[in-house]
Amino acid sequence: MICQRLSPSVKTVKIFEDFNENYLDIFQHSQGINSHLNPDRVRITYPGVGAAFAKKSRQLEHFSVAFLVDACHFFDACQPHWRWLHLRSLALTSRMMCKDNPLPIRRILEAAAQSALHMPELETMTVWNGAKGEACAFTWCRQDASISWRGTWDFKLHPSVIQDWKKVAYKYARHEFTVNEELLTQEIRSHGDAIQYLGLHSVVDDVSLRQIRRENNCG
Amino acid sequence: MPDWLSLPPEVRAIILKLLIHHDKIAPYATVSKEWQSVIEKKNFGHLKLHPSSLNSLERLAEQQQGLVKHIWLNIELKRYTCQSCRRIESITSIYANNKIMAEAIMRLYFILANWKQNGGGLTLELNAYSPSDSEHWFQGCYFGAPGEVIGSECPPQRGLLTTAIHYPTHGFWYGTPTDDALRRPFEPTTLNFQEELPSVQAVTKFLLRRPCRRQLDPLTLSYLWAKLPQLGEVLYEPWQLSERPSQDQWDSGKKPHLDSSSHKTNHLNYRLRKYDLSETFAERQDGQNIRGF
Repeated sequence: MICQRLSPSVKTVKIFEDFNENYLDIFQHSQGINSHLNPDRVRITYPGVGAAFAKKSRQLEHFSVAFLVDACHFFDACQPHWRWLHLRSLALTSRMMCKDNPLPIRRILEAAAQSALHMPELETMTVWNGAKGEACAFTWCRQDASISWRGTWDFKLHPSVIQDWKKVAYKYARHEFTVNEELLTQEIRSHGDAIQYLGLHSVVDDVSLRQIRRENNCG
Repeated sequence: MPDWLSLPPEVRAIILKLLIHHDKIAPYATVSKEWQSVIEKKNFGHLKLHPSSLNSLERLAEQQQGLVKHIWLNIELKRYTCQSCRRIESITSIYANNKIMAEAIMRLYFILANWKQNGGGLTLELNAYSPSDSEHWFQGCYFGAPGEVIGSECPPQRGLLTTAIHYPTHGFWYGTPTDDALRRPFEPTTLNFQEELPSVQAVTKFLLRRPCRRQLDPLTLSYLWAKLPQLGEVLYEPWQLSERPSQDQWDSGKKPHLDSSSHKTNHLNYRLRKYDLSETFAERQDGQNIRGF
Protein backbone atom coordinates (compact mmCIF):
# COMPACT_ATOMS: atom_id res chain seq x y z
CA MET A 1 0.00 0.00 0.00
CA ILE A 2 1.26 3.41 -0.92
CA CYS A 3 1.73 4.80 2.55
CA GLN A 4 3.84 1.98 3.89
CA ARG A 5 7.06 2.78 2.08
CA LEU A 6 7.00 6.50 2.67
CA SER A 7 10.26 7.66 4.15
CA PRO A 8 10.09 8.51 7.88
CA SER A 9 11.26 12.00 6.87
CA VAL A 10 7.83 12.68 5.29
CA LYS A 11 5.81 14.94 7.57
CA THR A 12 3.12 16.26 5.24
CA VAL A 13 0.89 14.06 3.11
CA LYS A 14 -1.97 15.41 1.04
CA ILE A 15 -3.88 12.92 -1.11
CA PHE A 16 -6.89 13.84 -3.18
CA GLU A 17 -8.55 11.14 -5.25
CA ASP A 18 -10.39 12.85 -8.05
CA PHE A 19 -13.43 11.69 -10.01
CA ASN A 20 -15.95 13.08 -12.45
CA GLU A 21 -19.59 12.27 -11.79
CA ASN A 22 -20.47 12.70 -15.45
CA TYR A 23 -18.10 9.83 -16.31
CA LEU A 24 -19.39 7.73 -13.41
CA ASP A 25 -22.98 8.19 -14.60
CA ILE A 26 -22.02 6.96 -18.05
CA PHE A 27 -20.19 3.95 -16.60
CA GLN A 28 -23.21 3.19 -14.45
CA HIS A 29 -25.61 3.00 -17.39
CA SER A 30 -23.25 1.48 -19.91
CA GLN A 31 -23.98 -1.80 -21.63
CA GLY A 32 -20.56 -1.89 -23.34
CA ILE A 33 -18.56 -5.06 -23.93
CA ASN A 34 -16.19 -4.18 -21.08
CA SER A 35 -18.87 -2.94 -18.69
CA HIS A 36 -17.88 -5.62 -16.16
CA LEU A 37 -14.80 -3.49 -15.54
CA ASN A 38 -16.72 -0.31 -14.80
CA PRO A 39 -16.15 1.46 -11.49
CA ASP A 40 -18.78 1.89 -8.80
CA ARG A 41 -20.97 5.01 -8.98
CA VAL A 42 -19.75 5.97 -5.52
CA ARG A 43 -16.24 4.85 -4.60
CA ILE A 44 -16.23 1.93 -2.18
CA THR A 45 -13.21 2.18 0.07
CA TYR A 46 -11.33 -0.62 1.79
CA PRO A 47 -11.13 -0.71 5.61
CA GLY A 48 -7.53 -1.92 5.27
CA VAL A 49 -6.47 1.24 3.45
CA GLY A 50 -8.05 3.39 6.17
CA ALA A 51 -6.25 1.34 8.82
CA ALA A 52 -2.87 1.67 7.06
CA PHE A 53 -3.23 5.43 6.83
CA ALA A 54 -4.37 5.67 10.44
CA LYS A 55 -1.20 3.89 11.51
CA LYS A 56 0.98 6.10 9.30
CA SER A 57 -0.70 9.30 10.52
CA ARG A 58 1.01 8.92 13.91
CA GLN A 59 4.31 9.91 12.26
CA LEU A 60 2.91 12.90 10.37
CA GLU A 61 2.37 16.58 11.12
CA HIS A 62 -0.16 17.33 8.39
CA PHE A 63 -2.38 14.70 6.86
CA SER A 64 -5.23 15.12 4.42
CA VAL A 65 -6.79 12.35 2.38
CA ALA A 66 -9.93 12.73 0.31
CA PHE A 67 -12.09 9.92 -1.08
CA LEU A 68 -9.36 7.26 -1.16
CA VAL A 69 -10.01 6.47 2.51
CA ASP A 70 -13.20 6.70 4.54
CA ALA A 71 -12.99 8.49 7.88
CA CYS A 72 -15.02 5.71 9.52
CA HIS A 73 -12.35 3.13 8.58
CA PHE A 74 -9.61 5.48 9.73
CA PHE A 75 -11.09 6.05 13.18
CA ASP A 76 -12.23 2.42 13.55
CA ALA A 77 -8.61 1.35 13.20
CA CYS A 78 -7.30 3.77 15.84
CA GLN A 79 -6.25 1.95 19.02
CA PRO A 80 -6.89 3.39 22.49
CA HIS A 81 -3.15 3.35 23.30
CA TRP A 82 -2.13 5.24 20.13
CA ARG A 83 -0.68 8.74 20.47
CA TRP A 84 -0.26 11.27 17.66
CA LEU A 85 2.51 13.35 19.13
CA HIS A 86 3.20 15.45 16.00
CA LEU A 87 -0.12 15.68 14.16
CA ARG A 88 -1.19 19.31 13.72
CA SER A 89 -3.84 19.02 11.03
CA LEU A 90 -6.06 16.19 9.88
CA ALA A 91 -8.63 16.20 7.08
CA LEU A 92 -10.64 13.15 6.04
CA THR A 93 -13.72 12.44 3.97
CA SER A 94 -16.53 10.05 4.63
CA ARG A 95 -19.13 9.00 2.10
CA MET A 96 -21.31 8.12 5.09
CA MET A 97 -21.73 11.80 5.88
CA CYS A 98 -24.79 12.53 3.82
CA LYS A 99 -28.37 13.64 4.31
CA ASP A 100 -30.69 11.14 6.03
CA ASN A 101 -27.68 9.44 7.61
CA PRO A 102 -27.46 11.09 11.05
CA LEU A 103 -26.42 8.01 13.03
CA PRO A 104 -23.22 7.24 11.08
CA ILE A 105 -22.33 10.95 11.21
CA ARG A 106 -22.72 10.87 14.98
CA ARG A 107 -20.58 7.72 15.29
CA ILE A 108 -17.79 9.14 13.13
CA LEU A 109 -17.67 12.44 15.02
CA GLU A 110 -17.68 10.67 18.40
CA ALA A 111 -14.82 8.43 17.27
CA ALA A 112 -13.00 11.47 15.92
CA ALA A 113 -13.23 13.13 19.35
CA GLN A 114 -11.86 10.00 21.04
CA SER A 115 -8.80 10.09 18.76
CA ALA A 116 -8.43 13.87 19.11
CA LEU A 117 -7.96 13.38 22.85
CA HIS A 118 -4.66 11.72 21.96
CA MET A 119 -3.48 14.41 19.52
CA PRO A 120 -1.85 17.01 21.75
CA GLU A 121 -0.58 19.20 18.89
CA LEU A 122 -3.78 19.08 16.82
CA GLU A 123 -4.85 22.52 15.63
CA THR A 124 -7.55 21.60 13.11
CA MET A 125 -9.50 18.51 12.19
CA THR A 126 -11.96 18.40 9.32
CA VAL A 127 -14.25 15.54 8.36
CA TRP A 128 -16.16 16.34 5.20
CA ASN A 129 -18.04 15.07 2.20
CA GLY A 130 -18.91 16.61 -1.13
CA ALA A 131 -20.56 15.57 -4.35
CA LYS A 132 -23.07 16.94 -6.81
CA GLY A 133 -26.00 18.33 -4.81
CA GLU A 134 -24.59 17.78 -1.32
CA ALA A 135 -21.78 19.06 0.87
CA CYS A 136 -20.95 19.05 4.56
CA ALA A 137 -17.98 19.58 6.85
CA PHE A 138 -17.31 19.18 10.53
CA THR A 139 -14.34 21.22 11.75
CA TRP A 140 -12.49 21.39 15.05
CA CYS A 141 -10.40 24.52 15.56
CA ARG A 142 -8.27 24.57 18.68
CA GLN A 143 -7.43 28.26 18.44
CA ASP A 144 -11.12 29.17 18.74
CA ALA A 145 -11.98 26.15 20.90
CA SER A 146 -14.81 25.56 18.48
CA ILE A 147 -16.56 22.84 16.55
CA SER A 148 -18.46 23.81 13.42
CA TRP A 149 -20.91 22.04 11.20
CA ARG A 150 -21.61 23.41 7.74
CA GLY A 151 -23.86 21.57 5.37
CA THR A 152 -26.45 21.81 2.66
CA TRP A 153 -29.21 20.35 4.81
CA ASP A 154 -30.69 21.12 8.21
CA PHE A 155 -28.63 19.31 10.77
CA LYS A 156 -28.00 19.53 14.49
CA LEU A 157 -24.92 18.02 16.06
CA HIS A 158 -25.97 15.31 18.53
CA PRO A 159 -25.52 16.27 22.22
CA SER A 160 -23.13 13.33 22.72
CA VAL A 161 -20.90 14.63 19.89
CA ILE A 162 -20.87 18.07 21.49
CA GLN A 163 -20.08 16.51 24.86
CA ASP A 164 -17.18 14.48 23.46
CA TRP A 165 -15.63 17.49 21.74
CA LYS A 166 -16.09 19.58 24.85
CA LYS A 167 -13.67 17.17 26.53
CA VAL A 168 -11.14 17.79 23.75
CA ALA A 169 -11.56 21.55 24.16
CA TYR A 170 -11.20 21.25 27.94
CA LYS A 171 -7.99 19.29 27.52
CA TYR A 172 -6.24 21.33 24.83
CA ALA A 173 -7.88 24.71 24.16
CA ARG A 174 -7.68 27.96 26.10
CA HIS A 175 -10.97 29.58 25.18
CA GLU A 176 -14.55 28.89 26.00
CA PHE A 177 -15.92 26.03 23.91
CA THR A 178 -18.33 27.08 21.16
CA VAL A 179 -20.52 25.18 18.69
CA ASN A 180 -21.41 26.66 15.30
CA GLU A 181 -23.91 25.34 12.83
CA GLU A 182 -24.44 26.85 9.41
CA LEU A 183 -26.66 25.99 6.48
CA LEU A 184 -25.01 26.24 3.07
CA THR A 185 -27.35 27.66 0.48
CA GLN A 186 -25.15 27.64 -2.63
CA GLU A 187 -25.82 25.21 -5.45
CA ILE A 188 -23.28 22.39 -5.29
CA ARG A 189 -22.61 21.31 -8.85
CA SER A 190 -19.61 19.13 -8.07
CA HIS A 191 -17.18 18.06 -5.34
CA GLY A 192 -15.14 21.09 -6.49
CA ASP A 193 -17.99 23.42 -5.54
CA ALA A 194 -18.25 21.61 -2.21
CA ILE A 195 -14.60 22.34 -1.45
CA GLN A 196 -14.96 25.93 -2.57
CA TYR A 197 -18.07 26.73 -0.53
CA LEU A 198 -16.97 24.77 2.51
CA GLY A 199 -13.72 26.76 2.42
CA LEU A 200 -11.57 23.61 2.43
CA HIS A 201 -8.90 24.90 0.07
CA SER A 202 -6.09 23.06 1.78
CA VAL A 203 -7.37 19.58 0.80
CA VAL A 204 -6.38 19.96 -2.86
CA ASP A 205 -3.93 21.96 -4.95
CA ASP A 206 -5.45 25.36 -5.78
CA VAL A 207 -4.93 25.05 -9.54
CA SER A 208 -6.42 21.56 -9.41
CA LEU A 209 -9.49 22.92 -7.64
CA ARG A 210 -10.06 25.47 -10.39
CA GLN A 211 -9.66 22.73 -13.00
CA ILE A 212 -12.10 20.44 -11.18
CA ARG A 213 -14.75 23.12 -10.97
CA ARG A 214 -14.33 24.09 -14.60
CA GLU A 215 -14.37 20.51 -15.93
CA ASN A 216 -17.27 19.37 -13.80
CA ASN A 217 -19.39 22.45 -13.85
CA CYS A 218 -19.18 23.01 -17.60
CA GLY A 219 -19.36 19.36 -18.69
CA MET B 1 23.76 59.63 -19.85
CA PRO B 2 23.99 58.05 -16.39
CA ASP B 3 25.10 54.42 -16.42
CA TRP B 4 23.33 51.60 -14.57
CA LEU B 5 25.57 51.67 -11.52
CA SER B 6 25.05 55.37 -10.99
CA LEU B 7 21.38 54.69 -10.23
CA PRO B 8 20.50 54.29 -6.54
CA PRO B 9 20.15 50.60 -5.49
CA GLU B 10 16.44 51.12 -4.72
CA VAL B 11 15.76 52.32 -8.27
CA ARG B 12 17.79 49.43 -9.74
CA ALA B 13 15.74 47.00 -7.63
CA ILE B 14 12.46 48.47 -8.91
CA ILE B 15 13.60 48.17 -12.53
CA LEU B 16 14.70 44.57 -12.05
CA LYS B 17 11.46 43.72 -10.29
CA LEU B 18 9.51 45.05 -13.27
CA LEU B 19 11.79 43.19 -15.67
CA ILE B 20 11.20 39.75 -14.19
CA HIS B 21 7.48 40.01 -14.72
CA HIS B 22 8.16 39.62 -18.43
CA ASP B 23 8.72 36.35 -20.27
CA LYS B 24 11.73 35.50 -22.42
CA ILE B 25 14.16 37.66 -20.51
CA ALA B 26 17.04 35.18 -20.65
CA PRO B 27 19.03 37.20 -23.26
CA TYR B 28 19.26 40.12 -20.82
CA ALA B 29 21.25 38.03 -18.39
CA THR B 30 24.36 39.08 -20.29
CA VAL B 31 23.87 42.77 -19.35
CA SER B 32 25.72 42.44 -16.06
CA LYS B 33 26.38 40.11 -13.15
CA GLU B 34 23.56 41.79 -11.24
CA TRP B 35 21.05 41.23 -14.05
CA GLN B 36 22.29 37.67 -14.53
CA SER B 37 21.76 36.85 -10.89
CA VAL B 38 18.18 38.20 -10.82
CA ILE B 39 17.16 36.69 -14.17
CA GLU B 40 18.63 33.26 -13.44
CA LYS B 41 16.90 33.17 -10.09
CA LYS B 42 13.58 33.65 -11.88
CA ASN B 43 14.26 31.48 -14.90
CA PHE B 44 15.70 28.52 -13.05
CA GLY B 45 13.27 28.66 -10.15
CA HIS B 46 10.52 26.69 -11.84
CA LEU B 47 11.51 24.36 -14.68
CA LYS B 48 8.86 22.65 -16.77
CA LEU B 49 10.69 20.05 -18.79
CA HIS B 50 9.79 17.89 -21.74
CA PRO B 51 11.92 14.72 -21.57
CA SER B 52 13.92 16.02 -24.56
CA SER B 53 15.13 18.91 -22.35
CA LEU B 54 16.76 16.62 -19.82
CA ASN B 55 20.13 17.01 -21.57
CA SER B 56 20.01 20.74 -20.77
CA LEU B 57 19.15 19.96 -17.16
CA GLU B 58 22.18 17.70 -16.96
CA ARG B 59 24.41 20.54 -18.14
CA LEU B 60 23.33 22.98 -15.42
CA ALA B 61 26.26 24.26 -13.39
CA GLU B 62 26.20 23.61 -9.65
CA GLN B 63 25.45 27.26 -8.96
CA GLN B 64 22.43 27.16 -11.27
CA GLN B 65 21.25 23.88 -9.75
CA GLY B 66 21.01 25.68 -6.43
CA LEU B 67 18.52 28.15 -7.94
CA VAL B 68 16.07 25.44 -8.99
CA LYS B 69 13.11 25.10 -6.63
CA HIS B 70 10.66 23.12 -8.75
CA ILE B 71 11.16 20.64 -11.57
CA TRP B 72 8.09 19.55 -13.48
CA LEU B 73 8.85 16.63 -15.77
CA ASN B 74 6.02 16.70 -18.29
CA ILE B 75 6.17 13.44 -20.23
CA GLU B 76 4.60 13.42 -23.66
CA LEU B 77 3.13 10.05 -24.61
CA LYS B 78 2.21 8.66 -28.02
CA ARG B 79 -0.56 10.19 -30.06
CA TYR B 80 -3.60 8.19 -31.12
CA THR B 81 -6.27 8.68 -33.74
CA CYS B 82 -9.99 8.18 -34.05
CA GLN B 83 -9.34 4.60 -35.02
CA SER B 84 -8.47 3.88 -31.41
CA CYS B 85 -9.90 6.74 -29.34
CA ARG B 86 -13.03 4.75 -28.50
CA ARG B 87 -11.00 1.81 -27.26
CA ILE B 88 -8.87 1.02 -24.28
CA GLU B 89 -5.17 1.21 -24.96
CA SER B 90 -3.61 -1.77 -26.71
CA ILE B 91 -0.82 -3.77 -25.10
CA THR B 92 1.70 -2.40 -27.61
CA SER B 93 0.73 1.18 -26.78
CA ILE B 94 0.82 0.47 -23.06
CA TYR B 95 4.33 -0.95 -23.37
CA ALA B 96 5.49 1.92 -25.57
CA ASN B 97 4.06 4.59 -23.25
CA ASN B 98 5.37 2.87 -20.14
CA LYS B 99 8.80 2.72 -21.74
CA ILE B 100 8.68 6.46 -22.51
CA MET B 101 7.69 7.21 -18.90
CA ALA B 102 10.19 4.84 -17.30
CA GLU B 103 13.09 6.13 -19.40
CA ALA B 104 12.28 9.79 -18.72
CA ILE B 105 11.88 9.28 -14.98
CA MET B 106 15.00 7.13 -14.76
CA ARG B 107 17.04 9.73 -16.62
CA LEU B 108 15.76 12.47 -14.31
CA TYR B 109 16.59 10.47 -11.19
CA PHE B 110 20.12 9.77 -12.48
CA ILE B 111 20.66 13.49 -13.21
CA LEU B 112 19.27 14.61 -9.85
CA ALA B 113 21.26 11.99 -7.97
CA ASN B 114 24.30 14.24 -8.53
CA TRP B 115 22.61 17.34 -7.16
CA LYS B 116 23.33 18.56 -3.68
CA GLN B 117 20.58 19.41 -1.25
CA ASN B 118 19.78 23.08 -1.40
CA GLY B 119 18.55 24.99 1.61
CA GLY B 120 15.19 25.95 0.15
CA GLY B 121 14.29 22.43 -0.90
CA LEU B 122 13.46 21.02 -4.33
CA THR B 123 10.04 19.96 -5.58
CA LEU B 124 9.78 17.15 -8.11
CA GLU B 125 6.57 17.06 -10.09
CA LEU B 126 5.61 14.38 -12.62
CA ASN B 127 2.98 14.47 -15.32
CA ALA B 128 2.25 12.34 -18.39
CA TYR B 129 -0.17 13.15 -21.16
CA SER B 130 -0.82 12.30 -24.77
CA PRO B 131 -1.43 15.33 -27.01
CA SER B 132 -4.39 13.33 -28.36
CA ASP B 133 -6.14 13.11 -24.96
CA SER B 134 -7.67 16.55 -25.30
CA GLU B 135 -8.48 16.15 -29.00
CA HIS B 136 -11.07 13.40 -28.75
CA TRP B 137 -13.50 12.76 -25.90
CA PHE B 138 -11.88 14.99 -23.30
CA GLN B 139 -12.00 18.36 -24.98
CA GLY B 140 -12.10 21.09 -22.39
CA CYS B 141 -10.16 19.04 -19.83
CA TYR B 142 -6.76 19.84 -18.39
CA PHE B 143 -3.94 17.38 -19.04
CA GLY B 144 -0.93 19.58 -18.34
CA ALA B 145 -0.07 19.81 -22.05
CA PRO B 146 1.89 22.87 -23.17
CA GLY B 147 -0.28 25.88 -23.89
CA GLU B 148 -3.07 25.06 -21.48
CA VAL B 149 -4.02 28.11 -19.47
CA ILE B 150 -6.49 27.98 -16.66
CA GLY B 151 -8.35 31.16 -15.93
CA SER B 152 -9.29 32.10 -19.46
CA GLU B 153 -12.99 31.99 -20.11
CA CYS B 154 -12.67 29.44 -22.93
CA PRO B 155 -11.93 25.86 -21.95
CA PRO B 156 -8.64 24.73 -23.46
CA GLN B 157 -8.11 22.81 -26.66
CA ARG B 158 -11.39 23.41 -28.43
CA GLY B 159 -9.44 25.38 -30.99
CA LEU B 160 -7.46 22.27 -31.81
CA LEU B 161 -10.52 20.84 -33.48
CA THR B 162 -9.59 22.63 -36.64
CA THR B 163 -6.12 21.14 -36.89
CA ALA B 164 -6.27 17.72 -35.25
CA ILE B 165 -6.41 14.55 -37.26
CA HIS B 166 -9.83 13.28 -36.33
CA TYR B 167 -13.49 13.74 -36.92
CA PRO B 168 -14.86 16.82 -35.19
CA THR B 169 -17.86 15.04 -33.69
CA HIS B 170 -16.24 14.18 -30.37
CA GLY B 171 -16.66 15.24 -26.83
CA PHE B 172 -19.52 15.60 -24.45
CA TRP B 173 -20.93 18.39 -26.57
CA TYR B 174 -21.75 15.91 -29.31
CA GLY B 175 -22.88 12.79 -27.48
CA THR B 176 -22.01 10.16 -24.97
CA PRO B 177 -18.64 8.43 -25.18
CA THR B 178 -18.35 4.67 -24.76
CA ASP B 179 -17.03 3.43 -21.44
CA ASP B 180 -13.79 2.31 -23.09
CA ALA B 181 -13.32 5.80 -24.56
CA LEU B 182 -13.71 7.16 -21.02
CA ARG B 183 -11.24 4.65 -19.65
CA ARG B 184 -8.52 5.29 -22.16
CA PRO B 185 -6.47 8.16 -20.65
CA PHE B 186 -6.72 6.66 -17.14
CA GLU B 187 -4.58 3.61 -17.89
CA PRO B 188 -3.28 1.95 -14.71
CA THR B 189 0.47 1.93 -15.14
CA THR B 190 3.27 -0.17 -13.72
CA LEU B 191 6.73 1.03 -14.61
CA ASN B 192 9.70 -1.29 -14.92
CA PHE B 193 13.01 0.51 -14.78
CA GLN B 194 15.93 -1.00 -16.65
CA GLU B 195 18.27 -0.18 -13.80
CA GLU B 196 17.87 0.30 -10.09
CA LEU B 197 17.03 3.97 -9.55
CA PRO B 198 19.64 5.94 -7.61
CA SER B 199 18.88 7.65 -4.35
CA VAL B 200 18.12 11.36 -4.85
CA GLN B 201 19.00 13.47 -1.83
CA ALA B 202 18.01 16.86 -3.28
CA VAL B 203 14.26 16.32 -3.59
CA THR B 204 12.18 17.36 -0.59
CA LYS B 205 8.68 17.49 -2.08
CA PHE B 206 6.89 15.21 -4.55
CA LEU B 207 3.92 16.33 -6.61
CA LEU B 208 1.62 14.35 -8.87
CA ARG B 209 -1.50 16.34 -9.65
CA ARG B 210 -4.82 15.56 -11.29
CA PRO B 211 -3.90 16.57 -14.86
CA CYS B 212 -1.96 13.29 -14.92
CA ARG B 213 -4.74 10.91 -15.90
CA ARG B 214 -2.42 7.95 -16.32
CA GLN B 215 -2.44 6.23 -12.96
CA LEU B 216 0.85 5.02 -11.52
CA ASP B 217 0.27 1.90 -9.49
CA PRO B 218 1.09 1.91 -5.75
CA LEU B 219 4.20 -0.24 -6.18
CA THR B 220 5.71 2.11 -8.77
CA LEU B 221 4.85 5.15 -6.70
CA SER B 222 6.23 3.67 -3.49
CA TYR B 223 9.41 2.80 -5.34
CA LEU B 224 9.79 6.37 -6.61
CA TRP B 225 9.20 7.72 -3.11
CA ALA B 226 11.58 5.23 -1.52
CA LYS B 227 14.38 6.68 -3.66
CA LEU B 228 13.83 10.15 -2.17
CA PRO B 229 15.26 9.83 1.35
CA GLN B 230 14.93 13.54 2.16
CA LEU B 231 11.29 13.69 1.14
CA GLY B 232 9.29 15.81 3.57
CA GLU B 233 6.06 16.44 1.71
CA VAL B 234 3.86 14.54 -0.73
CA LEU B 235 0.95 15.93 -2.73
CA TYR B 236 -0.70 13.14 -4.68
CA GLU B 237 -3.89 13.55 -6.68
CA PRO B 238 -4.79 10.23 -8.31
CA TRP B 239 -8.14 9.45 -9.93
CA GLN B 240 -10.68 6.86 -8.95
CA LEU B 241 -9.72 4.08 -11.33
CA SER B 242 -12.03 3.41 -14.22
CA GLU B 243 -11.40 -0.33 -13.90
CA ARG B 244 -12.86 -1.86 -10.79
CA PRO B 245 -10.64 -5.00 -10.79
CA SER B 246 -7.50 -2.85 -10.75
CA GLN B 247 -8.99 -0.61 -8.05
CA ASP B 248 -9.75 -3.64 -5.88
CA GLN B 249 -6.25 -4.94 -6.40
CA TRP B 250 -4.62 -1.60 -5.58
CA ASP B 251 -6.74 -1.10 -2.47
CA SER B 252 -6.25 -4.59 -1.14
CA GLY B 253 -2.51 -4.42 -1.80
CA LYS B 254 -2.58 -7.81 -3.45
CA LYS B 255 -0.17 -8.56 -6.23
CA PRO B 256 -1.68 -9.35 -9.61
CA HIS B 257 -2.63 -12.98 -10.11
CA LEU B 258 -0.72 -14.57 -12.89
CA ASP B 259 -2.95 -17.56 -13.40
CA SER B 260 -5.07 -17.56 -16.49
CA SER B 261 -8.31 -17.52 -14.53
CA SER B 262 -7.67 -14.10 -13.01
CA HIS B 263 -9.82 -11.23 -14.04
CA LYS B 264 -6.96 -8.94 -14.93
CA THR B 265 -5.21 -11.55 -17.04
CA ASN B 266 -8.40 -12.22 -18.91
CA HIS B 267 -8.78 -8.54 -19.36
CA LEU B 268 -5.26 -8.23 -20.74
CA ASN B 269 -5.75 -11.21 -23.02
CA TYR B 270 -8.91 -9.60 -24.17
CA ARG B 271 -7.03 -6.49 -25.11
CA LEU B 272 -4.40 -8.51 -26.94
CA ARG B 273 -6.99 -10.42 -28.92
CA LYS B 274 -9.26 -7.59 -29.81
CA TYR B 275 -7.23 -4.49 -30.16
CA ASP B 276 -3.60 -5.01 -30.75
CA LEU B 277 -3.51 -5.36 -34.50
CA SER B 278 -6.11 -2.70 -35.19
CA GLU B 279 -4.36 -0.09 -33.07
CA THR B 280 -0.92 -0.87 -34.42
CA PHE B 281 -2.39 -0.35 -37.85
CA ALA B 282 -4.11 2.85 -36.74
CA GLU B 283 -0.86 4.22 -35.32
CA ARG B 284 0.97 3.55 -38.55
CA GLN B 285 -1.63 5.51 -40.37
CA ASP B 286 -1.38 8.17 -37.71
CA GLY B 287 2.35 8.47 -38.37
CA GLN B 288 1.79 8.81 -42.08
CA ASN B 289 -0.80 11.47 -41.51
CA ILE B 290 1.45 13.46 -39.27
CA ARG B 291 4.30 13.34 -41.77
CA GLY B 292 2.01 14.46 -44.53
CA PHE B 293 0.53 17.27 -42.47
